[in-house]
Amino acid sequence: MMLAAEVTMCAGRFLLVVALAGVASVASAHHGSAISYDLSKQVTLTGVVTEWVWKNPHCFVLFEVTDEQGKAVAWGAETHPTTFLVRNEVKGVPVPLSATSIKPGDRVTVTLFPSRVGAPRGLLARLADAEGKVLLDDGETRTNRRPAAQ
Amino acid sequence: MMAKRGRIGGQPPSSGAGQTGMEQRTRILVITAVAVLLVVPPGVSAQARGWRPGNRSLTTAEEREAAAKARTIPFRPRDLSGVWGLGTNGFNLDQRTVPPMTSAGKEKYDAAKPGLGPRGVPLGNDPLMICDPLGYPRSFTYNYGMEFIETPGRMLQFFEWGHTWRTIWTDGRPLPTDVDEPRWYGYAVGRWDGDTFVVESTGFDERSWLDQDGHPHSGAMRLVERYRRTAADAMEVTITLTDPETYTQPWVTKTTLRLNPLAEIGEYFCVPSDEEIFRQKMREPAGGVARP
Repeated sequence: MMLAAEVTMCAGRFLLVVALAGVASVASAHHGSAISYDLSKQVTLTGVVTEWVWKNPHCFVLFEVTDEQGKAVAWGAETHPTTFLVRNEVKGVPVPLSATSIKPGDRVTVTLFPSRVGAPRGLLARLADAEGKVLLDDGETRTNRRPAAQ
Repeated sequence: MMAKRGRIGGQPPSSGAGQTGMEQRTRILVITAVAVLLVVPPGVSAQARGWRPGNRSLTTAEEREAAAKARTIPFRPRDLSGVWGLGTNGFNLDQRTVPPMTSAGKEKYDAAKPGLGPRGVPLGNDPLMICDPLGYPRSFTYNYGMEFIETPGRMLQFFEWGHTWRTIWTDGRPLPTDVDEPRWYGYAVGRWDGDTFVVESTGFDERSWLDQDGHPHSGAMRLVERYRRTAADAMEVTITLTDPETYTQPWVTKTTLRLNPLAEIGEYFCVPSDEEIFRQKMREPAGGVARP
């Protein structure tokens, strides 16, 4: 799915990957925010969780990424409602998420569809923990569970 | 569990005297079994029936297996009970058949700023974003799953979104000509026309949107819905919306819903305090609103 260049902006600390088109599907973000994201691009970031908000209408993760100048940038990525994530699957294997799936201090790698206005916010496409275990992958899974794009 | 208790309770009383050792052991075993059944936590009991604790807890494979099994079971056309459309979020009103709007309808439509679709704008004014009730028929088209529950004199539609229900009176009462006050879910009566369940409703609160695109309606809106179970796992649905204050012709939507056997409606509330957190930390920053 990652079609384009991978740009390392700060070795080992801030990884930026921009993928052009080729996006397999669109994650749910009905609650007035979907229009704010550029669904033709993906950005991958590695950072440290500051907050995992397990709430409706959409769960979201806030995480801190250190940019190439060494400055901490507060990012956020939203995902599905809790009722979807409790029966989350990755490649057909159940990976039920909960309020404690990730916690502040955890190192995560997040792939997201970025905000159109350049804000450090996005729609979550993929989430992996420090060991590389994929906790959520909307690129190829859950297509039959996702709310219709209305 | 109740059935087992009932059977055991129905055993002939024993005098106790003259029991053989085998009878006594059997009696002890039965009493022990009953005690175990009574103290087993509901979640464990549910697992034994194929359910697991938690909302919407079937995996894709389990869902597929349950659906395949359901298709082999004979069904009664007049039994609509069950969860329909889980995971597909209902269906949208047919956007290809939207009738021309009246000037009043057009004015309301233009004032609606959806957050999705061809008219979508960041930070719009969808009432959903402040947790207003979705109302009807939007709850049917946007629900994360809907369950029909039949009770004497009523049919209920139970929706995951908002964890709310709509009452459809089936006790023979007529559709009121003048509902006392507008209701988000209207006032509905239902009857069987052959094997088709026909629902008529009126008395709607005009503040709700009909769909994600912001199509409006007035308090004069009337709906006629027709539900017909055509297979064990399929139900044809036709919704005819008539609102002469908003649309110059009836708006007809047809679809087929799929049954989700063993599925469980989850609890999805739009909680204003949670929505406020989402607005501040996600929606507004993503849409370009700068926050200190």
